[in-house]
Amino acid sequence: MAGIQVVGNTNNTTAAEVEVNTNALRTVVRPNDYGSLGIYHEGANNGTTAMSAGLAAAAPIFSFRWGNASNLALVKRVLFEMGSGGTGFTAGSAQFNMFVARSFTVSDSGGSSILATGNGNKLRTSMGTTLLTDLRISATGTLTAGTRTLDVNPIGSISVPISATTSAQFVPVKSTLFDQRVAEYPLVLAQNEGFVIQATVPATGVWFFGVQLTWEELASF
Amino acid sequence: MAPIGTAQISGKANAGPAEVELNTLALRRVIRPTDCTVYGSYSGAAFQNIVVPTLGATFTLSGTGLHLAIFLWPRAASVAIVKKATVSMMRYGTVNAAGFFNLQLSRVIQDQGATIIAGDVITPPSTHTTLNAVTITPSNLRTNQPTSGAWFAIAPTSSAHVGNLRFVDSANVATVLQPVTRGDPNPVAAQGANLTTTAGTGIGPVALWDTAAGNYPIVLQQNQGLVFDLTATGVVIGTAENIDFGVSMQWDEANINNVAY
Repeated sequence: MAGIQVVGNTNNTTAAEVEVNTNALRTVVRPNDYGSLGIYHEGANNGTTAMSAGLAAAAPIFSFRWGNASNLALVKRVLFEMGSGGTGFTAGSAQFNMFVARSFTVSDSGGSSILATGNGNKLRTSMGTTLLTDLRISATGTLTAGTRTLDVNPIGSISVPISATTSAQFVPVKSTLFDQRVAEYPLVLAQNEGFVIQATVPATGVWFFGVQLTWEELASF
Repeated sequence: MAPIGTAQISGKANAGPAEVELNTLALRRVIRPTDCTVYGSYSGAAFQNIVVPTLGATFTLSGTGLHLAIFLWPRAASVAIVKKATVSMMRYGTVNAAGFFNLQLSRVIQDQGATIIAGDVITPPSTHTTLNAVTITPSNLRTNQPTSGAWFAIAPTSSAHVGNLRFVDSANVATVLQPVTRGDPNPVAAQGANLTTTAGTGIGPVALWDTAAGNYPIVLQQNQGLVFDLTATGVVIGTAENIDFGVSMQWDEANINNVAY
């Protein structure tokens, strides 16, 4: 029995195919329609100078603030890695927690701004420049919290044992703090919302860390 | 056989229509998350120092078992759709015994008639005093979503009660314990490791449950839940010792009439 073919928009004489053996309709998954905005990916680390020893517990080391009133930021993926430097830790454990920040009306300060400008960190040059308000990472010490309210519990958490070994990778590269894949709900941020990564590490040691993140800026979702 | 006609697929607000790729003949589509209607999508995580009790050569859930965290879905006419569950465990301080340790995730069903509400006390087995579990407050993945209806808790830190959790009918706490009836004879997932007496060794972080697109998630109906447990074999712990335990979950909450589960 014959059926109806599905043809395209511009390609309105091109019919979608059905596989011979599985009878499955061929489809292709596309990213969200970003319109005049864009989709961005950034990798960052605290630099060539290690994080100093003696960081206070639950210190903010990475901050993402969305202050745009008209659009949404969809955080899809936040990956983390960490290792010791030339001075070892007192053996113990470390925790790295990602918290959603709401009522985020004043950006964190300190560290290094890694907010892209121009074509920076776009996944396609023709996308719009990011409208992100603030993006920063620690250099050698804690960031200074702005005005924000963190959720009670983290949205993602990494806990690892820490030994006294120097130059050791304690959190493997690309460890997941947050990773929403196809069909999973992203972290949707409206105006004055964001997220913060906090660190608790043992005494004595100096250390390095890196963060990779992917986010989308959309007019609606 | 020749088709009887062609059709374009148009949207509701946007007339579109959807495009078909010129060379691959594939219909363009975008995948959206589950429509949770009146509910939403949530993530919760917590970390805790927990005292492991003085136990014998083995400990399992049927014996003096060690529950570390519990996720319960108490809401009627709705489901919790569990997408991910990640755990980690590390022994620290004075480590007394080597052996094979195992973190596992099990589906449980609450005894009929028992009603758990958020904040219910958790009574450990035996004669230990009643202690409150540490509630893990979920985060909405979008602020305008309602507060989660799940009850998610981690074992508290206390040398008095040994870190075990059981959940019971709050009306019967003082008298009869109504332990959870385990729904599955075997865990949903498990991750083990052979641990030495070296402090700082452990398990994970590891995803005990991770639903990829197209795969079936864990769907919990009212009064069903998940328990995160620590078991061990060949281990004789002479004295109590300490573990660091971390747990993280992501799930959707949906009206049972509006979601195809």
